[in-house]
Amino acid sequence: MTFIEFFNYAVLLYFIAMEAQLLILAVMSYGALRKDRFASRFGRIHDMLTSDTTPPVSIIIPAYNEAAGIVESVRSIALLQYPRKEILVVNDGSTDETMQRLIDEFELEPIDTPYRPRLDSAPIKRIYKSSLPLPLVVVDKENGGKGDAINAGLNVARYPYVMATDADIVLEEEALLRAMRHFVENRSATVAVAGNVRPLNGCDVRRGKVTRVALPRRPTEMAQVVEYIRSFLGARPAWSHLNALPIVSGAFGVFQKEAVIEAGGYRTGHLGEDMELTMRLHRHFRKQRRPYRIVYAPDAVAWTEVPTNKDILRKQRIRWHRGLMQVIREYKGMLFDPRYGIVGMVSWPSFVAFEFVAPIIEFIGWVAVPASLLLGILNLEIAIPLMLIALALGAANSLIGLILDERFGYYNRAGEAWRLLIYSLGEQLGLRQRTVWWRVRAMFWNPRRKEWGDMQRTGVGNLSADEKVSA
Amino acid sequence: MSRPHVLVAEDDRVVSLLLSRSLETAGVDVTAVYDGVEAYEAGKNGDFDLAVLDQVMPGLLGAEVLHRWNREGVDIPVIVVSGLTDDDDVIKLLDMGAVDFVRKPFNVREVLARVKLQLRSKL
Repeated sequence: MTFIEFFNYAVLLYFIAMEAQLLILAVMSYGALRKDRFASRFGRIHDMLTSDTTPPVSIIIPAYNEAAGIVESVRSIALLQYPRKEILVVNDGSTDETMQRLIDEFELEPIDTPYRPRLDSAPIKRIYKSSLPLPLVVVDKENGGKGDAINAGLNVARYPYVMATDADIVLEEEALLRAMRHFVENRSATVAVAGNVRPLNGCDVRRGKVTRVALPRRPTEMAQVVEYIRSFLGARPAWSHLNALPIVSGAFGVFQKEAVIEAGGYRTGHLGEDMELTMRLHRHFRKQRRPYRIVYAPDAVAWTEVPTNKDILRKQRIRWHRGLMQVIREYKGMLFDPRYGIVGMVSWPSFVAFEFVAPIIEFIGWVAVPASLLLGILNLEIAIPLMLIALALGAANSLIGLILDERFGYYNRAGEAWRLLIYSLGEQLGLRQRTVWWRVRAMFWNPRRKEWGDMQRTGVGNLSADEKVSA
Repeated sequence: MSRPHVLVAEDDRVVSLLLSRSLETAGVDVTAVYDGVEAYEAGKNGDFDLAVLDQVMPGLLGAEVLHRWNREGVDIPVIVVSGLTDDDDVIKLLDMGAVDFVRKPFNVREVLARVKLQLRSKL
């Protein structure tokens, strides 16, 4: 066997290994979701609503130049069903009207409160409180970035649990209750609960509330719906079950405040700050051999607007991959270190192997294997079945994702199941390769040329996501 | 004497229906709205003897509706219904001019009794 032959077969086997790993995770996720479904149905979320012992939560919204949507965001958060909460907006040195809009709409008045920072942040200018009967506190500070703003929020937060979120997401009314259930059930060990993030595109939003769930029209958006379903339902419930969840999404996560402060708070200027914090929590608690749990709550749903066109999506994916690379560089010491248990031995290595290395191998594979086939280097009787196995496993994974999603019953109008199915299968041929290409590009980046891929935000007001895009 | 007119602003349709039906049975005309902005507009343009406002509504919060009415001279007695548990917030609401406060989850008969209390001269 020549080297080229060996290489080609190795690539194909790698594909199969990757898909097989995802398939195992998906099957485990099925079991985890099934078990949790009982708890969520017969659990105590409605008792929590009226109980005096439900732990109070501070909700931190970092805002930088969010004048267009900040008022709606606060109103949307105020709609969350939760007995005791505090809404904490951190104005991160916005240069637009963000601060003035908050002052005008919610009758903010400056308060004198002792400020004892436990985490470093850019200087605080003033702290305000709403004079309306609304538990709203606004911290006005100098610009320092998103992580810095959340740290300032952690310093001011009154309550033992904090929810970190983005200004542009729409939470389901029961989302916080559903996430907090996991803290109530295991108060001593749970340090973080990750919510389920779903694409808002295609849904109708009215006054900070999703009034109708529907699939988006554009192929770029549809592809992301399928991708989010696969990622949030196919793998995360399994990792959570093993207490090895590698990421608590920055869009919607709830944390035990002390745990975050103890681990050092958020990092500023990191491209993958949510993943970095999650890995740091794993490392912190496992190193000290303290019991802890980082849980994923698939029924706690936050809707977020995803990129509507290819260019913004490309920039977003390049940024994500660079964030991942940064985290991998910083946490490579955990790889195969038995002190870190299942995270060090299984989940982190597999994440590195299949999220970071995969694009390179996949990219080479998509070029080398067809070329070798054309040149007649490969034995067709071996290569073609291997390729088919890899594709079939990939398709099976996508299908399992859809089946898992079905139990949540979001997309049940005529034709929606078919569209999801077609996109799930189509993702294997075309869309996936495009993402691979972007990820490869991300690896050869010039750090001085920043590509942030910021989206144009228009707020979570009355328009549907589709209308917002054209507006 | 004409029947008193009450504005019911509550975003939960089931609760709203339950409340409206009970009030109608008690001899009150009801206009039901389902979010804060509608409530604000209705109060500004309509002629109401009383408003029952849910505190947590999309669009504008109950307290914001009351605040805007106060600012614009709309004089409707307001009963606020809310799951607020912070006593300071309840006091703030009463300071803002709410005539009464009912904690959620409530018994419809209690709300009805409080509405009747406010409308006693008109029923």
